[in-house]
Amino acid sequence: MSIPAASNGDLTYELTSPVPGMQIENVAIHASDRDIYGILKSRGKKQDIVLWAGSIFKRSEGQRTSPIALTVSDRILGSGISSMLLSYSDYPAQGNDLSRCVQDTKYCLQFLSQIGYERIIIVGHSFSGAVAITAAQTSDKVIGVITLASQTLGAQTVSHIAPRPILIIHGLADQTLGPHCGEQIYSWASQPKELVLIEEATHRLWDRRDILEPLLIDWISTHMA
Amino acid sequence: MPTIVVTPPEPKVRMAFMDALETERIDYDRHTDGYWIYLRESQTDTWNSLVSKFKLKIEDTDPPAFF
Repeated sequence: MSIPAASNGDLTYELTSPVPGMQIENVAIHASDRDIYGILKSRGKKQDIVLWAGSIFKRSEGQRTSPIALTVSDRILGSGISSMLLSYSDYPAQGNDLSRCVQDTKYCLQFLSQIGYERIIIVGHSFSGAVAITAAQTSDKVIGVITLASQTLGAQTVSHIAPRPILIIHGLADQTLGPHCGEQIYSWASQPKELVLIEEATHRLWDRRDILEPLLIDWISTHMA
Repeated sequence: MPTIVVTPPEPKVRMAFMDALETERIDYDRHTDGYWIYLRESQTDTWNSLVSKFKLKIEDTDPPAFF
């Protein structure tokens, strides 16, 4: 099932349901200078949504989706909270180009606003933590930010997110970006802010799913209540 | 205005430690080797109480600046 392209402002978009009746739609956002793709999981009235920035990775052998985004988006859907899993444009051809990925996320925020979402939480893992922090500052629809094992490069302006809350999560066994990165971001942020350091969690964080999954669900549900 | 390098306190109190520094307006940076504390003379007593409260281990005082 395909919904014809719609136009609003500078963006056009297409929503395609791979399986009729499912609550999943493939999204193609056409901006003036790029195309951006993602997956929209929605239920109920369009109000609350979590934007999982960069949670879909295109590779030569196919597409990979963050297990954190996949699992938590399914769980919160039952509470009426939708999710948008975003793939950056031209990734990995463009590599980790912060400004390009921030612009992709801004386009996605504009799209979500256009289709009626009023309250958005952005989640970003690793490089995308900095993307989430930067993009969140550009939209008053964003009511909160979660960073997962974020890099510090590009996160220096995190204080501008306030008075909206930020949850900073980092693994104490992270060998890629040590926990000092999460602590440094916390030190730059303004209240309301929260830092959770997870014992024995590596950069993936999903190895401590027992802690991470309920933590994310609780925080998202609380701030979208 | 001494600079003091301390080992990070226990993970479960690290957020509270940073909140306490902010409350007391003590400037600091988190680096890979620990917390760098930039202390004013007037903050010495407050700092000493935080060292005790968070069981901080001082690694260095007035370390060489890095560029």
